Order: sequence, then structure tokens, then C-alpha cells
Amino acid sequence: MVENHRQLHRAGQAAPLGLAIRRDRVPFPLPPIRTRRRRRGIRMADVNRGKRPLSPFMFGQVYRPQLGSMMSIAHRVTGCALAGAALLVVWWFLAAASGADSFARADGLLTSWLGGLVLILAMAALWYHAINGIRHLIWDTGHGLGREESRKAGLAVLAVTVVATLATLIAAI
Amino acid sequence: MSKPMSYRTDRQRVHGLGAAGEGVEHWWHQRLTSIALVPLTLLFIFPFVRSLGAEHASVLETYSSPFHAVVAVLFLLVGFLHLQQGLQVVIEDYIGDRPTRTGLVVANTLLCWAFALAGVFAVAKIAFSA
Repeated sequence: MVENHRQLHRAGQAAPLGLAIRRDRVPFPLPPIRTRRRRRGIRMADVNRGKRPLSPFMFGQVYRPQLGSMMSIAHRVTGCALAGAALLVVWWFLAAASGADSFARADGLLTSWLGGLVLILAMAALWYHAINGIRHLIWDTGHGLGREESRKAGLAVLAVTVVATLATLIAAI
Repeated sequence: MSKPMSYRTDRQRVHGLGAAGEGVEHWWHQRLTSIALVPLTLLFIFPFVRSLGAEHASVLETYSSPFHAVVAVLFLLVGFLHLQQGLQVVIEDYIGDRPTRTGLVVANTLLCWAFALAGVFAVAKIAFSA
């Protein structure tokens, strides 16, 4: 049984962050939404408190994938991936500072077929994280938090990411 | 109980510190580094990708210019600081076991500073020796 959002809301069980919960997929018992006891104002004790699986576990099984949640996860993933890219950049600078031979080795590896692929992905990750980060900074001021405007801004972030990545690629060649 | 000679009330001492007792300092510093990184990324990335695959001499020439060297130093410093802050949040979100969490936060902080300063040293060496 999938309940609609208004029902969930009335029962005080709407999911936080606007994530849609599939009540039929929840891997632990949820208290029933409408019972005779509840209608009489008697609330059930929350028997599962402290035993529930937490957010990352819930994902996929319970939450429906949406643009907002996907882009939020991608922000984290690209941020973590950029740690690896940062190490490559430092390595490249150290090699350039060490001399022509070590520079040729580091630069050769980074501009090889595999190195180039890694750098292109890193470039896309950097632009995505930077541009989506601007969206986050705007959210932090309290603007653009509406469902429709944040969805449109999300699509704009994706479009600008593609353009910026292509522009960087052209600048690199 | 307030310390002796303190005129601040208990309520005033904890004001704004929240449940974690740390307030919004970490969050705020992360915003500062992210704001700084917006212009720094734009300034750093294009000279950098043009230097990839270039002659060693031309790379040395690019980063011996004070402008490019300062941009690269700032980008590496602020970038690694932001990385440290972000990875710490990720660790704190997903690692529940306290000893593991503390160990990872310590390792993350030390490694990020080490790599930041290594990068800054490399750029400085290029800038000063060319």
C-alpha cells in the first residue's frame, strides 16, 4: 500500500527533505497511518526508536531516486573523487619542480590515454562540484528552495557543467 | 556552574553552540573556503590545463609569473583546506565507531595539510628558481 503525501502529512509522518517514502518498501514496521486508536487521539509508542537503519541504508530501497537527491549524492561523490585529482595535481607540480626527467614521466602519464580519461572525468567532477556548490551557496542565503525553482536550477547546473567541461577540454588541446 | 569571577550566565556561555557544542563554526568556514574557490578555480584551471602536456620550460615559465604562482598557491591551500573540511563531514556522517572516526579525522587533517604544503612548496620552488 502506497499512501499519498497528504495522508502522510496529516498523520505527521511526511518524510524529511521532501523525499518520497514508499511505505510498502520500508524494511521495518511502520505504525499504521489511520487506525481507530489514532482517530481517537491515542498514539502508539514508537517501538522501533533507535533500531531503524539510517539514511544511506534507506536509499534505493525506500527512497525514490529524484533529481535533487541524485545531485546531492553526486556532489558528495565528486567531492571525494576530487581528493584523488588533487593528489595528481600536487604530484605533477612536484615533478615539474624536481626537473625535466621527472616532469616528463609525470606529464607523460597524465596525458596518456588512461591519464587523459582520468583528468577529463576529474575536470567534469570539478566543474560539477563548483557549479552545484554555487547553487548550494544560493540555497544557504534562503533563496531558490522551492521545488520547481530548485529543479530548474539543478538542470541548469548540469547544462553549465557540460559546457564548462567542453570549454576546458578545448582550452587544453 | 560558571567559572569564578565570570559575570556571564550559564545560558550565555552556551548560546549559539547547539547540540554538538560547537556552533556553526565548521559550517561557516566551509562556506568561506567554497566562496574563495569559485574565482580561484576559474583563474587556476585554464593555465593549468594548458600546461598539461606542454614543454617543461614553458611550464616553468608559466608558474614563474607572480600572478600564476600566487593563484596556484592560493588554489592549492584553499582547495586542500576545503577538501579537509568536506572529507571530515563525510567521515563524521558515515563512520559511527568513535575510535575509527577520530583516527580518520586526524589522518585526514594531517594528510590534507601535508599535500597542501607539498604543492605550495613545489609551486614556490618553480616560481623562485626560474
